[in-house]
Amino acid sequence: MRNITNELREIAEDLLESKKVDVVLGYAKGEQPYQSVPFAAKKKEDVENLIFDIFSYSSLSKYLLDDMYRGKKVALVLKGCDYRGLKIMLDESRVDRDDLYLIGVECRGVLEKSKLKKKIDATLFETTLDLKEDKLAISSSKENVEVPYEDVLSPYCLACEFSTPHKEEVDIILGEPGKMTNKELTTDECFAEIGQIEKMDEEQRFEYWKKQLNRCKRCYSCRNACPVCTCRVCLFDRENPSYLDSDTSQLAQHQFYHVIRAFHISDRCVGCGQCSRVCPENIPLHLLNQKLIKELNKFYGSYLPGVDEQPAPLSFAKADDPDPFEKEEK
Amino acid sequence: MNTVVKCHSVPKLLEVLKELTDDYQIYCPVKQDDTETFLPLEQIEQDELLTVGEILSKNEPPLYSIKSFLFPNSEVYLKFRRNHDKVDFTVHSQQPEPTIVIGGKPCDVESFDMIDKVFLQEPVDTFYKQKREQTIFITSICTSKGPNCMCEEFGVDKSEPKLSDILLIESEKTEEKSDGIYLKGVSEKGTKLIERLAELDGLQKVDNSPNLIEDKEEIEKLCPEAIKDKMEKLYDSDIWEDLAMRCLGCGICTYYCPTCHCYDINDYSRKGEGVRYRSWDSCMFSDFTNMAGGHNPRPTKADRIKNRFFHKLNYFVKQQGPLACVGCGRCAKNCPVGISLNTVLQKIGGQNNGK
Ligand code: SF4
Ligand code: SF4
Ligand code: SF4
Ligand code: SF4
Ligand code: SF4
Repeated sequence: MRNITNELREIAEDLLESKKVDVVLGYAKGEQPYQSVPFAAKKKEDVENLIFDIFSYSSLSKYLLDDMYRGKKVALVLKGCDYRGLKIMLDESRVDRDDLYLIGVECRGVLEKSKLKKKIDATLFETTLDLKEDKLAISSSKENVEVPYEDVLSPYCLACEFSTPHKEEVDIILGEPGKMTNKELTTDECFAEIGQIEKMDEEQRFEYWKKQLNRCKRCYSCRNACPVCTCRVCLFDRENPSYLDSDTSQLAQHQFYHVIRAFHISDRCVGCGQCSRVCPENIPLHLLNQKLIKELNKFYGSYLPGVDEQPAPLSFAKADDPDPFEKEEK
Repeated sequence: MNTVVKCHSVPKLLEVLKELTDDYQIYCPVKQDDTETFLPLEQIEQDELLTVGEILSKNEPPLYSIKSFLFPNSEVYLKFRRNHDKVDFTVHSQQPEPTIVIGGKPCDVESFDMIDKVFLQEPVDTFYKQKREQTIFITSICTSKGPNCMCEEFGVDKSEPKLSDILLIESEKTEEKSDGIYLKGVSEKGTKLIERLAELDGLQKVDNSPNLIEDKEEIEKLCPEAIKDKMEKLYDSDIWEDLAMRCLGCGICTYYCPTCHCYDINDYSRKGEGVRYRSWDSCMFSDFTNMAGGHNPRPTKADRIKNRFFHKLNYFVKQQGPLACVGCGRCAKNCPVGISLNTVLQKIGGQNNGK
């Protein structure tokens, strides 16, 4: 990872000095332990703050839609999933490829901090990480443990089928191909909780989601962080008519928000995992999204948003499409 | 002198408090699905009681602040109903039930000092005032500071907060043994409750609570006036745009902040009847200042971030005196892109220059 950081700084300096771009949008170290935050390098002196590591979570493409970035030439650091998010925006003509310089990285997955915390009886402020060939060594004043990467990687990364943007589609690729773990897990194994929830009866399932969603504060961070939630005016922000009541204590309103959002991104989700990660209430949104993806794949065949060239399954209809509601209606 | 009662453990204390559930709504923090949340005491399962103790003994605030007990996320003001060619209004006045909230931290109760300044000034916010009077806060004091804590810098006494009703003090634990939990009445209503608790089985009146605070570390307080002036110079700075370039414009920093108190008023109606209610709003949302007609005086994210920090570190000082922050560190902990009050303090020359 360290070499990606160094390569990245060299490229960034070059891009800024030669005025090829106005901004290099990447990551910098945050104030919290093992926190990498989005960072916009605008001048040469900023470049030394740029890093890329296993905590570089955020999908940066979404920022391009913000007025602040409009009209600027932007260089963008992209993992595989990030590229998929950007690809959707390019296909929808939301951004202009000519304004962008794309820095792809060979991504080996990101670590999930919540999983790390569970592995050791200390706060992350007190730990040091050592990235070994096949295991991650976590140590603190209290204990030292070594854990296999599959225990601490994001489930999305374990299930990832597209970890590096295609060479032809980006301007440069940094890093070397490789994986953190050689263990091959199926998507179902990566998201094993879905299987457990499927086994519940309807009432248990309702209780499960009720308990989870009751904690939602409707801060909309999950939506705002999502690289494929790109509507110009979000349905939930519309004031006239207003579709969502602003009463933030109502479970029904939380359900409405989450179910609608889950459907809206079901054939767009690129599996970056950021929605679950940003949620301060640890609501397992990934289970909701991943379940819908699973169902769509079952009905319409496998489809990888932002990778496969055919149109998204819910954006068109065929006469012989399966209609799961058919039976109920008759 | 303060009245003090002692109990041997947190689960025991909660069990005793259950006897009061006829007279009080009692809430405490509990861990469910790996997430800290406040729940009514009677909804807490036996196997979760231990997590209550864990949360209380942390030197760090729980995930969610306790402000929602006085200023709920949503609350109804008015009810209305169509009556032929007229509309009938009724003010929705509901005398709040007596409530006990366990588990706020010193920073959390002291945040009411700021909210009081806004809501208890004329015109008084009666909804807030009634709840303020009816709620007893049992604050679990801190013996050291957590990783993001800056209470002392903001003038909060982490072992003796002024606004708490009752202090919960856990005697120092040795390996497995703890000598017990002490509850010390501070305010009038807190002391009254302690007197009542002393009558219950499982709690005993004792002379005094242990004094756990070793020699206090001398932390110099931030000077509100000096910070205010430093902010003034930052009005046209680039830092707001720099922060805006990574901010998501979500509601986390405001919703989790114990001193933020903005709300919006909305109507909900169906078939000729409805309610008018207020619900939390966030100055970080783009529609916060959107006006009828479409004009938005804070059109960009940079404007909004600037406003949030100016409100905390400048406007509030001008209008009310103190800084509108108690240093709880929740913004630092929860912001997905690492923007916190400390980020701005550092920009204005660090704490040391802020004196
Ligand atoms: S981030 Fe979490 S709390 Fe916020 S709206 Fe999404 S699910 Fe709700
Ligand atoms: S729904 Fe979640 S996992 Fe999917 S693209 Fe959006 S943020 Fe990423
Ligand atoms: S900020 Fe101070 S009072 Fe609040 S939790 Fe931390 S140490 Fe305790
Ligand atoms: S500062 Fe952080 S928490 Fe606040 S709106 Fe921006 S991204 Fe959200
Ligand atoms: S601004 Fe941050 S540290 Fe200050 S009271 Fe609010 S959440 Fe706590």
